[in-house]
Amino acid sequence: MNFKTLTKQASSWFKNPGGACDIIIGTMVRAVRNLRGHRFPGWSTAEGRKAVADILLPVLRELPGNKTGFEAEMKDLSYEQRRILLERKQLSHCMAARQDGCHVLINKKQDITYMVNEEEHLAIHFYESGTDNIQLTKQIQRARKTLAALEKRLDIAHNRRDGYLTSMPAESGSGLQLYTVLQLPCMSIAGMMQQVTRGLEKLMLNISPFYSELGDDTGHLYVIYTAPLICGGEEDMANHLRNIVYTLAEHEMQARLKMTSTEEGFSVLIDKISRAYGLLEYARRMEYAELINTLAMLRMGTVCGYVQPTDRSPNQFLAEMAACYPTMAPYNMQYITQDVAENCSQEILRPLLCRNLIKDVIFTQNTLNSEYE
Amino acid sequence: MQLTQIVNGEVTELTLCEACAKSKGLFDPQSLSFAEQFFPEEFKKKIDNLVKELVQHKQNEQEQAQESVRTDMLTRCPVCDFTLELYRKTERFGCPDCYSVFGPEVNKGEETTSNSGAVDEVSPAIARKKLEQQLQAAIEREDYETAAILRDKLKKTD
Repeated sequence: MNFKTLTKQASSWFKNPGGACDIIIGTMVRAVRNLRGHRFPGWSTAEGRKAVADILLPVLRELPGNKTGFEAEMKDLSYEQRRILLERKQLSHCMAARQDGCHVLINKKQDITYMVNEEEHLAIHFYESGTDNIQLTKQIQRARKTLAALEKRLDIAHNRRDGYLTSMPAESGSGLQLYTVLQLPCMSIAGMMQQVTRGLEKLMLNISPFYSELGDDTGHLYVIYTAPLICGGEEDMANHLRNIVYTLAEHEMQARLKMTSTEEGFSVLIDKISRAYGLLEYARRMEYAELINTLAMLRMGTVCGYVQPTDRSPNQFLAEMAACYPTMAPYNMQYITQDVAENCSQEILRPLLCRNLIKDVIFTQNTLNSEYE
Repeated sequence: MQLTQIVNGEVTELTLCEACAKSKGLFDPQSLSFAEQFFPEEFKKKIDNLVKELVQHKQNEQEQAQESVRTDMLTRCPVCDFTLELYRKTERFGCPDCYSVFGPEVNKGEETTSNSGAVDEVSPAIARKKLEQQLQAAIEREDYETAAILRDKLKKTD
């Protein structure tokens, strides 16, 4: 698979986010492993990294879906290509800055990214787009299966006391870390996010903006993640995170219900959704951050029943909107249109594409979804 | 000051700085010759003690130097040259073997195990360094039997 084919498909985070619900975007398991007798990438030389890549790459290529997947050495990827992979959330920021001896592999389904010589010798991201019933335990098992296949053929650094050894001693253990991405527009409008952040800290979880480079609250998207997990505690932590995610999703639903129950709240909510609809219908220029915020409101409006597609199901419309997040991103648009660094033309192109998206979609202010009644 | 003593044909020469001579009560040359003349046995005893003290001091200095070399071995990973100071600054390690080298610092890391769970030795480079240290220590304490065993072990690691 070449780079162009890769960009034509939706990235795994945004394939089918939310199912019937727009809140849970997706989950990710990050697994890291290091080889014994080799320097960690951050303290290694180009030759050292190359030696590690020579050991890891033949093994990784033999894993299912990788032969027909995408593979590149970081030095061969242009700045724009790296930015596209970052926009699609298929690459870590650390990896995007790497050069010689650092490789990235993405499987054909684009739900696994393998990074050779990232912060660790091998970092693997297992993605799953959000469903109503998130299966973190199953995802951990899926990660373990892949790791077990690798460990049969590789000499992995492991210590009886510390578990799998990592470049940061504080992060050694199972080598696994769990992430979930949530869209919480109503809680964000209601100013509840600071409270949520404090609460999550007490529950040993971290929260950060999904589009941190665009601002703290862009698209009302947040990543909630655990610290690197200790050995033996993976399932417990997965259940803990799962429960917290469901609790947050329920709070978001309740916040929406509360807003629609009062005249003042309802007017605020409906104003934001109608403005979003109006922007997509009539805007002539649109920046990426503005588009993300607009889509967040429209997605909420669809789930609440104020925005209804006439020719397709609400779920399909939700998925189409989610697919816009990576495809309408600046570098991706630049790559697709081959419009070199012309931000203004991108700004013109975005509303044109969006108008196509909301074709056959009606705005019905008086309709309330049955679950909110 | 230069101190030369001849007792029963046996010559003892000693060179002392002014401060050392003063601290040992040997400052006044006249009193020395007086002591030498009238109390030769006491004087010889005193000089012997002084020589012993100086030799002991030199030995202590050597031991301290060796100790500092040993300490230095624990502050630098022999596999990747990562230092303890760097770990304190970055909270990162240079390679998996740093867990064995800097184990006491982070209260982590003893022996490493392979994927199968079997206990392995530490890396060959660290094992060799440790053997070299033990061999040096055995030679210094003139324990040649142990030194021979350690030498053979070292040959096997080549």
